Amino acid sequence: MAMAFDLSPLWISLKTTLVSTVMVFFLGIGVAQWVMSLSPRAKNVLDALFTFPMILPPTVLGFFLLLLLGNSSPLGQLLKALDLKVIFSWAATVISGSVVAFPLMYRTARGAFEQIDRSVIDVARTLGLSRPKIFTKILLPLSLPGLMAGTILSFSRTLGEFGATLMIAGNIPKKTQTIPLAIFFAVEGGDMKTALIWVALIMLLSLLSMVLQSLWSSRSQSIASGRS
Amino acid sequence: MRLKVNIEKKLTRFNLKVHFEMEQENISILGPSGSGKSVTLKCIAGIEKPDRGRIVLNDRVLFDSERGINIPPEQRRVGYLFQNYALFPHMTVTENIGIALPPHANAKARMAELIEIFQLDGLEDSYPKRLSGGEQQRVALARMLAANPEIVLLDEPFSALDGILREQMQLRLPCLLGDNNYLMVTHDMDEAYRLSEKIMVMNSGCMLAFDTREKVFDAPPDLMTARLLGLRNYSEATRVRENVIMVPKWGCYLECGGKERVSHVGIRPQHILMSESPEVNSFGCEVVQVLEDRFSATLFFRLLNQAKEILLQAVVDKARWEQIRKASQSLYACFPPEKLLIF
Repeated sequence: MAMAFDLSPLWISLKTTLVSTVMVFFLGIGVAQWVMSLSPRAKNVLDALFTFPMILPPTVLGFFLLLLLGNSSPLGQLLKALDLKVIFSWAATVISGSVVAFPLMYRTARGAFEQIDRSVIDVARTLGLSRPKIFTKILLPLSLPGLMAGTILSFSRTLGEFGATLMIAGNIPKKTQTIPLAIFFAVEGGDMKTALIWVALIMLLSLLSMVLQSLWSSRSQSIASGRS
Repeated sequence: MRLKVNIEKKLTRFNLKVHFEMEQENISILGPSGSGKSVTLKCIAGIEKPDRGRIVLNDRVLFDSERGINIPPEQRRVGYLFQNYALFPHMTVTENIGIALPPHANAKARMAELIEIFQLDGLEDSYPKRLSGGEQQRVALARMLAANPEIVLLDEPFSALDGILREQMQLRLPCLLGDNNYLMVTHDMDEAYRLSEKIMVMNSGCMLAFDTREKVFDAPPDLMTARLLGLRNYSEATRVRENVIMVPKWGCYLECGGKERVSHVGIRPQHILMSESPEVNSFGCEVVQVLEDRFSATLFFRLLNQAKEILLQAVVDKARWEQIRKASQSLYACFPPEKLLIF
């Protein structure tokens, strides 16, 4: 190890995970709200559809994403016409990270919204509160513990994403190589020392997110139940 | 305040069909649980949507299926007090009330006024969890009035309160609500009688009766309604001649004015007189079982001349029961003709 240790996988991982988590946070909440407003039938169908990425193996998910975004698909053609190269770019790590984390955020957000007492929402409406106000002043604070848990789950899931990322983003150093990929290829190349450093780092990050979760959860619990 | 409701809605177990008008009065809807009372309130508030019909509040059409009108609840100005009060758990008393206050220059004054009326001073910064049941209800009422409703709907308002507190709130409620007229849902007959001028009786989505409280209780339109309103003693009966009906199951003839046809007769337990000397419509009886309360006793008795084992109920006060128990004389049950309910 004469040359300086290449830290780029850390920055790529952090960037990817942060962007994905933020996207998944809003998308998960929005979709959960939308699905809850639908008829029970449509709800069941969409629920299954949005949960699907969670039960598929990441490599299979990556394979489908490859088909969807590749040159032979209509979407791929459109991207090509717009001169956007998604496959094997940094954006692909965000896409794979978001797709695997989305079901976690969606499901926990829905669970959090659904456990709110229905009459609390109804009474807010009879009091003349507008829908946006009910959402920001009542739904969000009351579902905060669940939303926080969903965010941490999504963060951890994206941070550890390997299979789907490898399939659509590849392993391009300084571009798409995230920490999990760096670990795998270091081990494959026999460089146990580098692998160990990354393993230690990712453990540290995971531990940190766990600590954050427990701190946030007690804080958000007290907001939601009015004990603060 | 004027409210016109004429709605239909298909529910899982029955079809709800309600048609009534109220004007400057307080009304109770009485009925067993699951009879469609709460759904009726929710339709008026806009939380549930009827399949067909029309709801008009003070000349504002809130719902009209033919014209495709369905005003959302936030614009209806219909106050709704939920059974569990549905306070916002993450907000203090002030915040709970404040969020319902329309943004006005005098919002602060109004808040102070509500806090005073509902005796919430000292509790302003408490969260709902810390409040007692009665305090929670007062906060919910204050919050409801903060939104300036044109009518107030109360869904089983006292079911979460016990004993003394319930009575206190029943006493204070009309005063607390001020000029606001209310439509209340309950399954407690005393509560309905105490707190409303008119009573509607509902069962399986149908309106069985709707009249002044006295008429509904003293002259229920049919046997079903009477039974829902606590009639315990009833039986088939036929008129044998003018002023006399025959009640085969009780094994007796009863003197009863009029000559119209009769299918059933009934009498409330509170109206049967127990005496030692026979009067009109009196029959020798034997007390079989007794349920003793603190101040009254319910006697389950059998008429002596009756073939079948059918027990009738009479309620007498405690002192009278003690007398009856000690006396060894024969006992007569008297059915005063004017108290008989004829269907």
